[in-house]
Amino acid sequence: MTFIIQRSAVSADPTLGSIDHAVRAAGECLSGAGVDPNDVDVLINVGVYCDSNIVEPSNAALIQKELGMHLDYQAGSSRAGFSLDLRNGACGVLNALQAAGALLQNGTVERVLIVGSDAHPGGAENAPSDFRYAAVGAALLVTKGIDADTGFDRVHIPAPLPRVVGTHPGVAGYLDLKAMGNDGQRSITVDVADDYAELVAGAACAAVRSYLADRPETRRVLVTNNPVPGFAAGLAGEFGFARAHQAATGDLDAGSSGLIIGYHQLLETGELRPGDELLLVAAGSGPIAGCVGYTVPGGGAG
Amino acid sequence: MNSSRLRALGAALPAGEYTTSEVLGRMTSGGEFDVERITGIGHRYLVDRTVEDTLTLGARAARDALAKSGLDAADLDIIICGATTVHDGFHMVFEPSAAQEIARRIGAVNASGYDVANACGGTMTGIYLLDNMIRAGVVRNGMVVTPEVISPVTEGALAEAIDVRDPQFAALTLADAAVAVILDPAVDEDDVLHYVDLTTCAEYSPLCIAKPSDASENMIMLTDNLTMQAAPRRETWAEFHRDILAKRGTTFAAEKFDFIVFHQLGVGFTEKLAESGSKIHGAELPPRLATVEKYGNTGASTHFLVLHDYISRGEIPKRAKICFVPTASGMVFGVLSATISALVG
Repeated sequence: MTFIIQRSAVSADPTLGSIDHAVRAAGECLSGAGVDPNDVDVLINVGVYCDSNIVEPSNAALIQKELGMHLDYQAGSSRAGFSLDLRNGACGVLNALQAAGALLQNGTVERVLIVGSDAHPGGAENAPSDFRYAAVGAALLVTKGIDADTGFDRVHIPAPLPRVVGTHPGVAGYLDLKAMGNDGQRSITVDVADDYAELVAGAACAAVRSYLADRPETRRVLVTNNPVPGFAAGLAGEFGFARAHQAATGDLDAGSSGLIIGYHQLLETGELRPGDELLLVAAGSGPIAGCVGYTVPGGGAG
Repeated sequence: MNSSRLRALGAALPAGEYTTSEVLGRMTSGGEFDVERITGIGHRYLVDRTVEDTLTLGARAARDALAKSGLDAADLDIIICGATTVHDGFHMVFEPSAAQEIARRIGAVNASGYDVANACGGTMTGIYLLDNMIRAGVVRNGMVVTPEVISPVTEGALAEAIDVRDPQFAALTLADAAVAVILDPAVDEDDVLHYVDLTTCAEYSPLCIAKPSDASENMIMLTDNLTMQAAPRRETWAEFHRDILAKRGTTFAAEKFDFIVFHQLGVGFTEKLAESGSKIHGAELPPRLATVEKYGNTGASTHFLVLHDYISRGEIPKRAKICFVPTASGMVFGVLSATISALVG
């Protein structure tokens, strides 16, 4: 079995909060695909930085409510919706794709909607100028494919490279409970290692190298998130990819939605053709990186 | 057989054990609450946040599960952390994932990892994903580790809650604990995860919100208990379970469960969940496993902390068939059915 992207969408208004970004991207994704929210089986939210630092319930449930998706269980129903938050920084979307692939292969579900969005918890007006993440969101609707030769390959997320306990993970994002005072809903610290560009490139190179060891063809189109400037170009140069596209969100990191944004932007260029082979790479805090091959199915890409 | 099984179960409790009276004795808001009479919670364990956190508790529970599994840490393919929040000292962490740090601390050098957050449904959510990945052949095995450090919102309630109708009342029932569950492929009917299924009824997602407070230097949890525990919500788990069983061509009575484990929210609430279940299923429920009196509500770790407690006292025989019923903010309802043997030791 393979599975495919049915549709993607991006929400980019910098004044929106994380929930609104996710809802807007998800809504556009579903309406573009002609899929009713109640026909989505599982919603996975991979967003990391969220409105007011709400930690319970899952932000996925709050997004689900705004979408009007499976608001209550209907006794006797043949279909129930489920949602969850999955957190792994920019790589969360790959973990979500891995889980979605398993759910689809087992016949547990028919459609999985992956949403990622980040925003400063205090809103745009409270975000310091050095907050590294763009206020953006994106959504990806995945479903079973028809052709065995197209769609997603197996998701490849190797274990993180060895790192001594206590050394910098590349990006450390946290709320300081001792220092927050009464301002915790509007506070967040994102501490970036001085050598983050090297750390994240090292993790990505290791992941791509081990992926290509089994699949050496490199005429693929490289698509990446944007942890640092020149990230995709560096990988393309290292491994000889024919083309490369990195998510573009100005000077700011797209965060959890970066990989979806990279794919969506490439699609919008109108240059993707059925049979094109993409390698989707995400890298972020840990440092950790992973990748997945995607062959654009016939009938176009959504 | 294309199923997974529950291979091993570990747990870790914080060092500090308190009576409910001792906890409420630290109340600075001026409020007075008879938590023990209302909920049945007499004792609980709370972390000392200067020396214990999500990562230390998680690593202890993970090592406990590994020791019982016969697996080496390097054998694990994936680690999923199911805690509601992640605390590294006094930092509430959003990235990197706790799963990666716990993997590093226990030497799981070949495991990828990520966190899932789904309030008190976190462990079941992790198992739902891991079970599907094992059945699909995406991973050979994995661990769901849930070090639930949930008492920061109790601190908020002690500072702010005023009376019994206060939306922070539920926060006074919470406590900390970690569990770790290892799953791998099933080999026979004595040891098999029959099914795990979950649903989120998002209409009710605003009924329980945890976030930093505006009024004090604490985390808080605001809960509309009356609406969350009203009759229709008490029946959802059983309606959902009945429909799952109908699709499988069976009934609750025919499943012949040996035990049932509800979310440990309070003695009275589980009574009502059981009554609703008995009515909807049209069947007697099996004996309930319960430890809310001694551990309080430990959030996402609650179901498997109960099971660990009963197993450690030798009260669960091999080949026991157990029905787990998660109930979580969101609101999440569901059921996990498993026959366990390896878990018993």
